[in-house]
Amino acid sequence: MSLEWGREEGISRVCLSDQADLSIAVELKPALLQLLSPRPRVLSIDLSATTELHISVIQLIWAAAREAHRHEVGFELHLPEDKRIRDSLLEIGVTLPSSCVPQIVQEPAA
Amino acid sequence: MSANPIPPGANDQFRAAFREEALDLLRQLEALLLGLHEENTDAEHVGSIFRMLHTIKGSGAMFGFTILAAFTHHLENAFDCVRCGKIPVSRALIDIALECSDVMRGLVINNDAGDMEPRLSLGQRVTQIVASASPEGITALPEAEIVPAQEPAETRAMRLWRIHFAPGPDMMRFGADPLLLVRELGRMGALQSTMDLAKLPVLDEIDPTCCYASWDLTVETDADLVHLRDVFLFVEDTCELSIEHEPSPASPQSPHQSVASALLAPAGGSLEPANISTNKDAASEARTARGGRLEHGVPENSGAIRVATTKLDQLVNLVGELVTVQARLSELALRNDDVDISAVAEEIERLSAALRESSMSARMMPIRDTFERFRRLVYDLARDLSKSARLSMEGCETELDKTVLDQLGDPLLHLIRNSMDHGLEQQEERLRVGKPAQGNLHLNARYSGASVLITVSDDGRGIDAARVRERAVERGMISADASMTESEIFNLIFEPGFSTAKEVTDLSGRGVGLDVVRRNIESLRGSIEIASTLGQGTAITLRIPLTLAIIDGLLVAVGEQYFVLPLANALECIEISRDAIDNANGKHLVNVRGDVVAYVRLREYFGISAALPEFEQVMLVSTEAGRYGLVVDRVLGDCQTMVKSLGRMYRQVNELSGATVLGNGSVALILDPHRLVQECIKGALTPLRASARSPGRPQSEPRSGPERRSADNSSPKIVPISQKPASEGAPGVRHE
Repeated sequence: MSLEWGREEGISRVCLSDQADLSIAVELKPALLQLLSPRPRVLSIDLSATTELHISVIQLIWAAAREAHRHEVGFELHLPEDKRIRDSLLEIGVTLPSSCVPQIVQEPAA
Repeated sequence: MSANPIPPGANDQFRAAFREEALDLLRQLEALLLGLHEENTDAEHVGSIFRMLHTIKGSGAMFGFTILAAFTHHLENAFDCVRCGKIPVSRALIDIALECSDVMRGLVINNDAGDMEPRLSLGQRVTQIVASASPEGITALPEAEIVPAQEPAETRAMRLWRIHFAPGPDMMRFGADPLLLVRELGRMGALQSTMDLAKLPVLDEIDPTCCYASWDLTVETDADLVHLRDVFLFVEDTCELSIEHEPSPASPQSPHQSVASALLAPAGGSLEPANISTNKDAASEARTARGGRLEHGVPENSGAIRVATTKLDQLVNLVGELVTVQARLSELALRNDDVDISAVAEEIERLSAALRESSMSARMMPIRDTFERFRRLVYDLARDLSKSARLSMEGCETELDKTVLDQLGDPLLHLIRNSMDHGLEQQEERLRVGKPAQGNLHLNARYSGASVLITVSDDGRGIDAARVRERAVERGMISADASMTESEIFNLIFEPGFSTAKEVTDLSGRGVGLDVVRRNIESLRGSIEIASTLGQGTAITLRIPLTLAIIDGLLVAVGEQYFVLPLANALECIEISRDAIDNANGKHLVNVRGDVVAYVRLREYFGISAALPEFEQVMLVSTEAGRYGLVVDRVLGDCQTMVKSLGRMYRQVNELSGATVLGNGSVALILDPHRLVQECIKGALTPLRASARSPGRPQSEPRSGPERRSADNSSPKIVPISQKPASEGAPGVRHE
């Protein structure tokens, strides 16, 4: 299991992999707080490489999504790639926040 | 991007805690299985077995022991059928269940261990038992180790249940995972589930170890309320739970459909917390409704915690050091004749004594668990040897130091195996000699002073002293004309390589084992006694000290040499004049209010040469051999003594059980009165014993005794500390 995070060009990224369990959650909270302060343009959470999601991690993702929403920070979530993980969460009524990234309006070409 | 490595799983501690709990549960399970007979199908007994299996399965799955959970599921199914009266309790079922418990133990210790084939085959046998006895027959045999879903029972009515489940803040801290519980409900039938995060605080205020989510669930299943509650068995006290039955079953939509929209909902909509009301009263009523059921979960206030043995050992060691320092302080106060220091020293003495009592009592454990382990052994041996045997126990609450208990397992195992193999007869033989068909093996533990006596007795054929003697002569251990008491003959069975067995079996007969028993018991500073009547049975009694760490002692001195006599053995002290000793014509006897008591002069025994006092003190002690006197120069008073083991050089010195450091820094030897007296008795019989030895056999180290000791400072076994050569380091006792 691992947790990687950083900020690049106004996008705060956090990437979880393997089993995202309680011990990851303990590390994830301060990481999220740092990533949201100062406010980034987008908070991006990548769960694509996770094989298991603990409820403590899910709670933090929800809280981060709400925080982002409250401060008009874009929120991007990459769901686990493994369909079984996604299905197993759905089966027990566990939902994850949806991505909500503000569209960048392209200047019309001159 | 910066990488933050996560420390090794915080879940490890929960898994370790689960292992401990599960091993405890398996021990209880084994005891319950062994208490189950065809005749004993008490519903509560069977229910307890079922719940224990359910607990092991549920919590195993919760902590990631998936193979264990899958394996346990088969046995749980079987006992569910027994519980419902679908299959009867049978010997075959008990045997398989016991085999399963062994496999489960292996899986608890190492989740990935072992070959899968035997497990699958065992699982199949369980399923076959269920299938063969069930009218409907259960045809599905386990093909792989996948946690099986609850098989749909067409015959049972499907009902709709509404469940509100709100984990308490502490639930995850106890290692429980709410998602696993909800998943388990999903396995019981069609589940519709909605998670509510209304109570989720803002990110900054979240405690990651707390669960803020709650669930509203509907499940359509044939399972009854008991089965549904069983899912939450472990966490009911740390969550809000209500389970209500809906009168008419609904047709729940696919859970995938119901939540898919939520998953894809726009952030704004889905981020609004739902308004969920909780039903605390209903939860508490529901908890009350459980009444009378056996609980295996975390008790509300158990008043007990698990502490690692190493921590207790450390505590006892520190207390031991404190006792030594306290003795130094008392000595200092006495030497300086300072009233104030004396008062402080007395206070510290009182406190350290209380601390010692408390820390030692924390290490004391009842012998019950050690005894209970042998139920299974006797059951298995009886089956393997085609004998009928019953194990009875007495004094299971007798407490012993954990270190001692840990070392008792092997000796008791050997003794029980010997009793089962050589002691108890086959049923036909027992009936022929007028004994009940079922043999009885009895374990008894009782206190005796500072020792515990543990007896392993059987009502079998007993030891044939003549045969033992004959065999000993054949093996050249004794000469044919040796004069030996029955007790000495019996003791020969503890000699290395001795066996009277006509044939060597898997269990015993090779003559390996009983000598190890004696060695183990002696390493605990214990002793063994055998009593046997031919045709009636044998009783082997182990005398074991209560603790190995700190004892109450009486400090005595001979010349400049100090000894500590365990207070538990001391009876009284009387004075004897030098004239009385001189005029006794070498007879070491003293008249104690009309009773003649033999005594040992430690001065002579240990060869201590020092000025003779006008009066000597006779310390009367109780020993296995009766009341004896130990003559010393001075009795200095009681003391707390931390027992330090003696070095290798002193290993053969039976009369001493250790040494301790006194307040003035000098070393005192701790006497073992039982052995001291035994050695004296043996010493008195030395000529007989010497003649009993075969001339062809190299004579073993002669035992010590007063005759060989008197004023012999060069004795290889006892070297008075005061006369120890300086090169070996003062004061001549190595502390380990």
